[in-house]
Amino acid sequence: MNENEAIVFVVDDDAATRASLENLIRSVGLSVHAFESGQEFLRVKRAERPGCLVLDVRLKGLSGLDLQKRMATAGVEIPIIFISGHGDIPMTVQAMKAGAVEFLTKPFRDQELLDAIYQALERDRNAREQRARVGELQSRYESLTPREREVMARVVAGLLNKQIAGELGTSEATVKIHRHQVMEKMAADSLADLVRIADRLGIAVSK
Amino acid sequence: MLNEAKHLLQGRQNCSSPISQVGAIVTGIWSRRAVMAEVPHYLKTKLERSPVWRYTLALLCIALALLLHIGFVGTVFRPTGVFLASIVAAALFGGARPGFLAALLATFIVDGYVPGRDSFTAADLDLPRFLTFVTTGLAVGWGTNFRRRAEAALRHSELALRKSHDELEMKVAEKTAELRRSQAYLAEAQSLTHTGSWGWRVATREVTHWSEECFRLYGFDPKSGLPSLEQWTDRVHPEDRDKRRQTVRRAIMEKADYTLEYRVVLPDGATRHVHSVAHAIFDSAGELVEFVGTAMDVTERKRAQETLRKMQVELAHVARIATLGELTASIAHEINQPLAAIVNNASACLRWLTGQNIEEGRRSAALVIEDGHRAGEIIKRIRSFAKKAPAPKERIDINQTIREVIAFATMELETNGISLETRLTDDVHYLPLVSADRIQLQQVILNLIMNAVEAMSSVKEGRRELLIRSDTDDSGAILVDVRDSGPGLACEDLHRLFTPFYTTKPQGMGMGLAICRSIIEAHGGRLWASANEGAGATFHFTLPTDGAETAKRA
Repeated sequence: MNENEAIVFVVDDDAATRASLENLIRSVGLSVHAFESGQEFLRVKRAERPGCLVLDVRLKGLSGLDLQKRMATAGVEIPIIFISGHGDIPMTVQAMKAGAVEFLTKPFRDQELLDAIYQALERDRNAREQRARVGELQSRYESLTPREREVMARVVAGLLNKQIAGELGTSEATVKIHRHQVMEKMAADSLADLVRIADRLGIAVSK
Repeated sequence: MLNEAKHLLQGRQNCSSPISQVGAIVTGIWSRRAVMAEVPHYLKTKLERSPVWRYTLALLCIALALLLHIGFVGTVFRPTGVFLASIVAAALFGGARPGFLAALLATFIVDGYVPGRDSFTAADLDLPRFLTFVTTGLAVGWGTNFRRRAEAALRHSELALRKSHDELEMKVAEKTAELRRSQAYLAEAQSLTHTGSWGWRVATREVTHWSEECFRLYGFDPKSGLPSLEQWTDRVHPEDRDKRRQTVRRAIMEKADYTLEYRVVLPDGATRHVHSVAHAIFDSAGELVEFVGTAMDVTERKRAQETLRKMQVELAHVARIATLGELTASIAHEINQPLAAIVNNASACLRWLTGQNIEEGRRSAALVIEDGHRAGEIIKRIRSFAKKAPAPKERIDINQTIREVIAFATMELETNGISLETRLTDDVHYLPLVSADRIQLQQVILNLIMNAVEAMSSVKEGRRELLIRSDTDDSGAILVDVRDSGPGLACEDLHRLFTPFYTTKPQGMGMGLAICRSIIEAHGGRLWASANEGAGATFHFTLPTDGAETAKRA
């Protein structure tokens, strides 16, 4: 994936600060999209590309921490770098606990911010890849028939074919066929591979 | 009764003259008290209540006399004495009428018929003797009865007296108990409220009353009795004695009540604060006789007040710092924004230039300039805000303001043992009103006083004197001096004193005098300090006056 694909969002209600942040981020060749308020940021439909958010803690209206909370509730996953005029410790702790990448106090060194941005973008990229992989596995899983899912759940739970057949009230040969289908559809090379996939999908081992 | 008769008989063995007979009767009556004591009680009551018994008694007396006479007495001596004795007995125990009956019967028997004694009757019957006997008999009967009645009345009133005496005794006991109880309540109340009561006579200068609580309060031993006025005075803190003496003297002169607060030093050296209230007592001529009053131990209250005051001072200090802190934070935040923008834009500028992007570099530099200007604007705004904040001005009498502040500072002055002298020029023509912010002027004066107090509290030796003067200077402006007897000021300090954050105090902020000067200057006046010729320093400030106002008032 290309660095240029990434985008940095900036939310700061002070026009001069906003412009300076935009300028600084652009000077290292990153795309920037700046907003005056949290609400404005939430309204905009963002493209599916790696990104991060540089967020001022003190905002008129929706504060930075509130915006962070709201995004977490809405399932919007984007790494956040907080900037603040004067960061007090409780506020910093709260922000970091809620998953912020960095908490910078103004005025900060340009490199500090840029390092934080690179780190945040990297994190977002990984998360996206992770999400994409899980998504693929999910679609593979969805291609399984209900019977195959039942068999898979029991296979990853460590049951032998004979036991599965007994539980499901079918012959061992049928279970063998289902099992083969599951391995193929889920693109699993081995039983261990399948267990890993099931773990990622969060398939509960039902007995 | 028989006893009595016998008694009389023995006493009258050889008495036959009428005089000795009367003597026998007197003796009989004299001994009646003893006899009556021997008469059984039931018989006495019977006699008193029933006439039948009394008459029977009279008859019995005469019959006994007759029997004695007939039996053997008559042979030895004349019968008159025996009969008189029986009349006495009848009158004494039976009353008037039985007495008369006995007398009549005796007369009849003696003078008329004595059985077996005809010769005696015939020989003795003569008119004078008869009359004498009758008269004597009646007189004895009457006298005895009179005596008896009088005794009965006496007995009755004695009884009544005893009864009322007993009642009185009981009442006294009751009242005593009541008094004792209310005294106990009073003592309890005095001890609870730490309030003693006392009294002293003005003319003789002696203490007339000194309650238990007073003994405790002043540390006297109750066993050694009431203290003298001198002993009382000795307990007063030496520094408070003059004040107390003056107050009391004035109260005596004006014949008025007085209240007083002073310190008491106990024998063990502990100090108590006493609040004393005295009430003047006058005699019917309107002359002052006595002062009675209370002495309340207000040590705890004083201590609480002192703590409260300290806390208030601390709170004020903290509030001042907090306000300053808040102001600083807000200024810092305002300035920080453009500062951060400058750093960002300058950093970006360098990066653009490094990347040979001259256009973007130029644009960034322009942004830096813009942000710089913005920061300048903010500072200018804060400055103008600080400067132009219009103070609500009112026309103020500076002396009034000084007095108000002194009222605030009295406690502080007293605590630090500083004597205050004020020389306020009170002539309205010479001391015109000034247009000023009252609160700000109060702050300045209070600040100068507090500085003086702090300076003097570090001085261990010598007197602590504060002098506040108001006057006009040559130009007609008001001049106020605050002069202390503290350690004074070094020459180089005189100029630096008013610099912000310059302080000589360990806990000072170094803002007080700087603020004072800015307030005075905002009023168009001047504030400066000078070293005294003797000890200490003087702070002076001037305030220009409103010429029109002076003219109007003049």
